[in-house]
Amino acid sequence: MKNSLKELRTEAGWSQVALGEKLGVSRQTIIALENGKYDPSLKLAFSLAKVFERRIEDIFTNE
Amino acid sequence: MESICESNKQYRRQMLIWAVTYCVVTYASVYTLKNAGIEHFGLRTLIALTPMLPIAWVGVIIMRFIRSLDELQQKMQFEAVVFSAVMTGLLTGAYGFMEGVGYPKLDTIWILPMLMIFWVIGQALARRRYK
Repeated sequence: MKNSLKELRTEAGWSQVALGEKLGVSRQTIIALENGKYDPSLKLAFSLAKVFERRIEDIFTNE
Repeated sequence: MESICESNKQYRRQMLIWAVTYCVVTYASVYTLKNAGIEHFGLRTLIALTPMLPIAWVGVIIMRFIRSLDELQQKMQFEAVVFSAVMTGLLTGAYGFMEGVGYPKLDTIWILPMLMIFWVIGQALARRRYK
């Protein structure tokens, strides 16, 4: 699954640590998400959508 | 919710206290068995088993720590534990068959350290996979 997390995070001006703190996850998890190495759970995907004020399908694409 | 950073610090602190406690209890157990002149078999067994108390305690510390991790970190720990179980099973199983053809009998006390070593290796492999 592809995602636009890195672009969204950069746009918001947040570091990986800051985003991790907002979501309650580690920087390691943010890195894995951004690199497409890990697909989040539905719960985390909803949290990401809430933090970035986007719909889940605007952040993740099934490619 | 407790932050992941705070959980890590707490885990390290608890593991340090545990390591010191384990060393003291194990030393006291071995020393007592060798020097106290206790003859009663049941009592000697109890004293020999006292290091198992801190070992049980470390299990609780590890379980608490794993529950405090986020979803990816828990997945990585799961993969590391499975790796450790498979490798330990393969090695102990293979050596068990080798004992059947004359290799020296090895003490089962080495199984736990083996599990721990393969767990650490499994964690490193999982970290590399999700980097």
